[in-house]
Amino acid sequence: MQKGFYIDTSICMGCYTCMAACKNWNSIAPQVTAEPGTQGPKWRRVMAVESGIYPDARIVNVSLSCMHCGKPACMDVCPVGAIRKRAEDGIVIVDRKRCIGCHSCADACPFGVPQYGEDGTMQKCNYCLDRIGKGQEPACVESCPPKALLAGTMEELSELAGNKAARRLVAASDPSVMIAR
Amino acid sequence: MKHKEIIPGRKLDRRTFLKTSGMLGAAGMSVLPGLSNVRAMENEIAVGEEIRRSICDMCCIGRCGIEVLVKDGRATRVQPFKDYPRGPICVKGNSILFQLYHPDRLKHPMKRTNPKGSVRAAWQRISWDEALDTIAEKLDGIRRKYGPEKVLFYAGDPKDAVRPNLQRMALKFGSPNYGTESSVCHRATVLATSLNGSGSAGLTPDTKAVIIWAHNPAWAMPCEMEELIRAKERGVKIIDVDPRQAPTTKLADIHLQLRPGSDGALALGMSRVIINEGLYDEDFIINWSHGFEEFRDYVQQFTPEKVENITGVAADKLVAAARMYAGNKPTGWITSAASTVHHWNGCQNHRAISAMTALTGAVSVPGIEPSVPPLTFRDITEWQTLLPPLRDKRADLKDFPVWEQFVQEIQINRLPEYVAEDILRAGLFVGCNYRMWPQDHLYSKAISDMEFTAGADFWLTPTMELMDIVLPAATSLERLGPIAIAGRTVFLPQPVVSPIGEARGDMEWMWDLAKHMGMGADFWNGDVRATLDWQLEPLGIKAADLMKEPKGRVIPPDKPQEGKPGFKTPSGKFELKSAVLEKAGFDGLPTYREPPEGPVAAPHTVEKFPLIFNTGSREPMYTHSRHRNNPRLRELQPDPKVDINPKDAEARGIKQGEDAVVETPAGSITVKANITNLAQPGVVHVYHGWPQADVNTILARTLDPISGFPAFKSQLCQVRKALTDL
Repeated sequence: MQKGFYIDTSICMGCYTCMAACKNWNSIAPQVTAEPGTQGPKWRRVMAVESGIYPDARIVNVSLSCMHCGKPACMDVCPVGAIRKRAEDGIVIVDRKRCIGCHSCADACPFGVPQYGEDGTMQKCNYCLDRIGKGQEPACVESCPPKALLAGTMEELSELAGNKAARRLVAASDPSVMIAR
Repeated sequence: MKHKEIIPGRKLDRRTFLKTSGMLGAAGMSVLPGLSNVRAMENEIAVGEEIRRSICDMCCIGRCGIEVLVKDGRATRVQPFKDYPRGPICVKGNSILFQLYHPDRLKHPMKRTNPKGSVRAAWQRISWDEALDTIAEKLDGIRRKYGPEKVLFYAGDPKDAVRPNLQRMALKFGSPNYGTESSVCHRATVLATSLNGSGSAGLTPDTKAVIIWAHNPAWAMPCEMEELIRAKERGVKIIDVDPRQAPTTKLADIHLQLRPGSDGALALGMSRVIINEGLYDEDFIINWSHGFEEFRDYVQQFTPEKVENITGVAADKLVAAARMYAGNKPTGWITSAASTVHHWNGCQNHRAISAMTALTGAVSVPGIEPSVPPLTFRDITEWQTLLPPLRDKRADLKDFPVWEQFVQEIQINRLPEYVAEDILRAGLFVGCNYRMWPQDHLYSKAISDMEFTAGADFWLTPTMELMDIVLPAATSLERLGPIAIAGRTVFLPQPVVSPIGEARGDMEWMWDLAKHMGMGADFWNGDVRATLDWQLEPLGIKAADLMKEPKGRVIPPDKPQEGKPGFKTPSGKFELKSAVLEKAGFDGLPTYREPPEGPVAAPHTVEKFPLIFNTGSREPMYTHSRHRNNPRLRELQPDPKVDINPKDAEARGIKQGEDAVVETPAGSITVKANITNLAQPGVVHVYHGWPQADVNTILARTLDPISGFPAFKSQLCQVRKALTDL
């Protein structure tokens, strides 16, 4: 049963709570350097996408992390087999002990998911396995103030999506993400 | 500069079981999913992490419940406190541990060792006893020599944690001159609705149309968003009034994107439609309003076309919004604490909005139906008996006579004058940021010029650098109390970890200071728990009992109380024409006037400074000037910025992320350009609270004559590309 995320962009407010909750739960060290715009590793990202011009401009906020793809491009290119897709829930995980930090996965991932911290090894969303193992939601989902971000199996999320005309994100790697507009 | 490992917390521990994920076969995992999942990953729950509960103090209004995971006495992670009525914690709450464990926290009391006005203050660590003795001696000396009213008791951002306690201290000391940062926040909106008679209904389960006026809870108060989204889902009509296309705007059925500061004209224009089309609540207007005829006549000049000229909101949109709002009763009104009143005509603008909502019946008559009083505990300030005898010594008495009638704390915005005129000589500052006022150098000078000042804070901020003595304050995670109420839940936060260094809770050190000043008898001899018991007595709970209830106690509502119907106004009615304002020499009607520094009233200025300069709105990761030193938040927005429309940026040759200079007649600051449709053409939004690009250095010091609030949001500026190295 492939697990994935559902993001309702009609109510995502770009408040960054999911991003901070992710870093908080997973103890990801922040980095603020003298170099403008430098950021620590981001397992989840919040973006604003703008289209059109005033007065008909549209601003959409969206929160994305690892898509836990059906056919993970990152996994195929890893030379040391550090990336694995779990059979029972399709969650893509990385073994940082084995990773050699070659960035092949970063080149292959169509979504720019792989991140590298101080130790140079790849890190990314692991769907808060420690939490879901205890029946909890991933930290990002639990923290979302407007409940725009949901987690579940793709079947469960597709059912939800019915009401909101949400679509599964389409890409060659078959990402496990539903997006409602 | 790197901030690494501020929270050592949990080190990644891969131990024996995590050689490779491949070693754990899929079959094994399906047998023991919980355990194997935990083992497979590096972020397993640390053994012995214990959940403790408190209140988040990362913003000034949220007071959301927070759960802190603690291991070996050290906070490691946080999560939402789900059973608490206020929450969930936002991006700031999720970053609270970087505040708690920041290496720059003030850890010990310190005294200044070089004269004030030195380029850099020099400090020496002292004991709490020495610090409190010195403060007591100095303040008492000034009391004896010049009078107790010469001492200012000031509270900054921590809000309810400290304020009532400090006001009690001021009043018992004999000074009515207790002031807070609410002299620029919230009080003016309450003042405006109090002048009218009452605030309006917010969003209730029955609301059919709600107007969100100059408020973006998506970023300012994410904990309010879910309620709003659920309202949208059940078909509540939403009208959003905001100069920006803010995230909250996406919920709107109609967005009225007005010029900042023109709110009054828009509200009066909507009122005209509602009155002339007979959409108003006739029963309320006939029985419970005062001045309707004059109000009706006054609004006639605000035709949709004229309002379009003033506000930039299309005439047909205004009419549609007025019809949608008044046509879907019951109506509600959600507004920000201060956006509408950060204008020279702010108080009257806010009254005009209040009046418009009242026309649609959004105001209920106090006492007309039995009502359940909100849950509350005993007021520690005792201002009702202690303040009236001291009233004549209020510093603000002559400057802000209307404010003085309604607000139990002084309007402090003329601090520079009060110090220069020797009305205030010394101050105790529990949190303070002199940079919050336009022309802020006047305020830093005033604080510096005082004979004696002491302050308490988490940090040695630029304002604390001006003090003679600084005290290390404990954060909400390190202290007992204050009592928190959310809905019907009463909760007593307890320290989840020991304080950093010698930091102490504000109530604790203040009560100790009272003892040092010989006022122990009025402060339960310094016993904080005894004080809490006294405050909780009406609820029939002892502090010790409440401390055993980690999720707080739910107090069932009392029987509804009968009241005498009527408003607390001279007429006893909702005053569309205010008798109090008229008596004080202001317009009784909520008249619209152009901002003196605005494009209409200052045509010569607008030639050189053609853009409307809006400041003061919030970003999700910061609370005013706070959190720039919080690495988890700073990495989300590393630089000060101006939001500018693509059209205005293109006309100036400015590209995304480039340095841009924001210039006013008072000076200039350099910020990063953020080119976005969030800003409409002709209006730029510059974010406040950045020391290296402080908007208050270039804003004119223009105060609303009624409320004394500064005009942060409707002045003029020019933006140009920054010159690079020549």
